[in-house]
Amino acid sequence: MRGFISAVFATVFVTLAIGISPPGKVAVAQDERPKTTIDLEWEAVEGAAGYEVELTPKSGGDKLRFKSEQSTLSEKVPADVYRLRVRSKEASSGIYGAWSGSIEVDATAKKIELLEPMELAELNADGSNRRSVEFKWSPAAGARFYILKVWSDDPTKAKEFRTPKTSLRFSVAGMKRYQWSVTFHSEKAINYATPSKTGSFLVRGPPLQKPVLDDIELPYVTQFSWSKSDGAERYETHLARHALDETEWAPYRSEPEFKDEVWKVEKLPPGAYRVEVSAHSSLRASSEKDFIEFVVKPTKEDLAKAVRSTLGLISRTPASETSSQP
Amino acid sequence: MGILISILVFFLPQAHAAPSAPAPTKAELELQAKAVKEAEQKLCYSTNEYVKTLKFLRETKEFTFQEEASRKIADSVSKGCDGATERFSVVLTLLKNIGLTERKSLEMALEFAAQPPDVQKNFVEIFTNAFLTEFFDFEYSHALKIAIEMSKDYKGDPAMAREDFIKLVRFCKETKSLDLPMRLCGDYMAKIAKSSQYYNAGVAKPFFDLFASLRDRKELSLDVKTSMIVAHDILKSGPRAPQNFFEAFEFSRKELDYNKRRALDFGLKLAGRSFVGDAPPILQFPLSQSTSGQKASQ
Repeated sequence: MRGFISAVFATVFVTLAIGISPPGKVAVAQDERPKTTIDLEWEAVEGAAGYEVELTPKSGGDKLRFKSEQSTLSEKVPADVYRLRVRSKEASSGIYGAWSGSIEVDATAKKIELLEPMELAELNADGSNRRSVEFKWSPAAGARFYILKVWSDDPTKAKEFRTPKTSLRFSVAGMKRYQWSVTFHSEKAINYATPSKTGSFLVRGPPLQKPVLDDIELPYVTQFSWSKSDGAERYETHLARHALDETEWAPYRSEPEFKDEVWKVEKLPPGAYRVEVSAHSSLRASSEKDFIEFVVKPTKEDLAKAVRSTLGLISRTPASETSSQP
Repeated sequence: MGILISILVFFLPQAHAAPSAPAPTKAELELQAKAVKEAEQKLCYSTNEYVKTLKFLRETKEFTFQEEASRKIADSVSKGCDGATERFSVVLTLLKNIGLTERKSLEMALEFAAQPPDVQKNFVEIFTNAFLTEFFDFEYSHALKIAIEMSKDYKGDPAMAREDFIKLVRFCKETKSLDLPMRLCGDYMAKIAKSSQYYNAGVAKPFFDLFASLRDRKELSLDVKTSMIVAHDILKSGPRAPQNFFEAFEFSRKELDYNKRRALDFGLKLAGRSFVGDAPPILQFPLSQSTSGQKASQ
C-alpha cells in the first residue's frame, strides 16, 4: 500500500490558480493572506473508500486536512508553500493507511494586481507641472521586496524602485503618459514572481490658459470669437438660451470638438443667451470656462416690420366677408 | 258741428301751446354730439373682432396655435369690443418678436386686447422705447414694469403720459450736452414720466423748464445728473412744487443765511409739502377716452 501510494504521487497534478482574488474578497478573520485555489489529482487506489489530504504550510501555522471520496481535490487555501501528503481509507475496514511521502506544492500568488493609479487614470499636474503619484499594488505572499518600474516613452529608461511595502509615492512630470509594472522577490531563494500587467496613466500638464471671449456684436449675432489658448487641441463651446420671461437656460447649440477660435452660428433670434468656451488638450488639464451672457434684441425697424406684417395680414382678411357689418 | 270741430282743431294748438323751446346752442349741440359719439363707442361689432382674430391666427406663420386654441383666443378677444383684434395682434407680435415665450406673449396680448386703445398704445410705445437698444435699452423686466405703470396702472390721461414719455426719450436721445449714458438718462426720465398724471398739461414742459433753471441759474448751477435727481424730487410733489422750491431756496439764501447746500435741502423739504395726502391729486383726465376695449357683455 505504501509503495503503491508513493507511485501514485508521481502522477499527482497540481494546478495552481494563477492570480489572487481581488482585494476585499480575500480577507478572512483568521488569515488575511490572499487565498489560492489548488486543484489536486492523484491516481486512485484500488479498494479505497476515500482519501485524506494534508497540507503543511512552510511558513508555520496549523496543518490543513481535507477529506475526499474521489482521487481529486479542489480547495481554496491561504497563499503559501505547502508540504503535501495523502493517505487512503480502506473500504472494508474504514481505516486510513499510512501517509505517502510528501511533495512541495507552491500555492503562493504568482501575479500582482496594480491598484493605483487606476488603469488609464488621468491625473492633473500642479502649477509647476509635477504630480505626486501614489502607486499601490496587491501584496504577494512571501514577497521579500517589490520592484516598481515606471517609464514614459522608453521602457529601457524606466525608473526602478525597491520597497518591502505595497505602495510607493513619488513625483512625476506632467504632460506625459506613463506605464508601470511591479514584480517581487520571494523570501525564498526561488523567485516565483511573474511580472504584473503593465498599467498606464496620464499626468496632464498645468491647466490651459482660459480662452477669453470677445465682445458680442449686437444686434445680429452670427459668430463668437475668443483668444487663442496655447497648447489647446480643441475648444468646447456651449450656447444656451432662454426666453426673456423665463430663467432656466436650455441648450441651444454645442460644439464639443471645435478646432478654431471663431464659432459661426446662424443669426440668433431675440432672447437671452449664455455662451461658454473652454480649451482642452489630451496632455494638459482643461482651462477654466469663459462665458458671456447677453440679450439679443430686435431693432426698431425689425419690430416695426413684424408689426406691419401682422396688421397687413389682418387688413387682408376683412371680417366683412363673413359679417353683415354696415 | 263738423265746422266747429275744424275750427277748434285749428285754434287749439295755438291757444294751448307751450312756449316754444329755444334753439340749442352750439355748445349744447357739441356736447350732445360728444355724448352720442361716446355712447356709440360703447357699441361693439363683436363678430367682426372674433372673425378677424380667428382668421389672423389661422393665417399667421409666426404662431402655431391649434384650431381649438385659436377659437378660444378669438372668443376672448371679441369681448374687447372694436379694435380688439389689432390691439391683441400688435402686442402678441411685439412680445414674441422681442423674445418672450408664446405663452407669455399670448397672456399679455389678451390682457391688452381688453384695454382701451390709448392704454394699449401706451404699453406698446413705452415698452418699445424703454426696451430697445436704440432707446433706453433697459432689461426686459424693467422695461415691462415701466410700460405697465404707464399704461394699465396709469391713472391719468394715457395719451398725455405717452406724449410726455416720448418727449423725455427724445430729450435724452437728442440733447448732446447731457453727456449721460442713454440708459442712465432713461432711468431718470422713466421716473419723471410717472409724475405726468399730476400735471394738467403733462410733466414734460415743467421738467424742461425746471431742468434748465437748475442748470443755468447762477446761484444753483447744478450738474446734469444732480439736476435730474433734484428735478424728479421736486416734480413728484405736484405742480406747485417747483414754485415752492425756488421760493424756499431764495428765501433761505437771503433771509436765513443758508449756504447753497442747505438752501437746496430746505427748498426740497418745502417742495415736498406741496400737496396734502399721500400723493398729489391727479390732474389729468382723458378728454375723449374711447371706451372700446372695455369688456363687452359676456
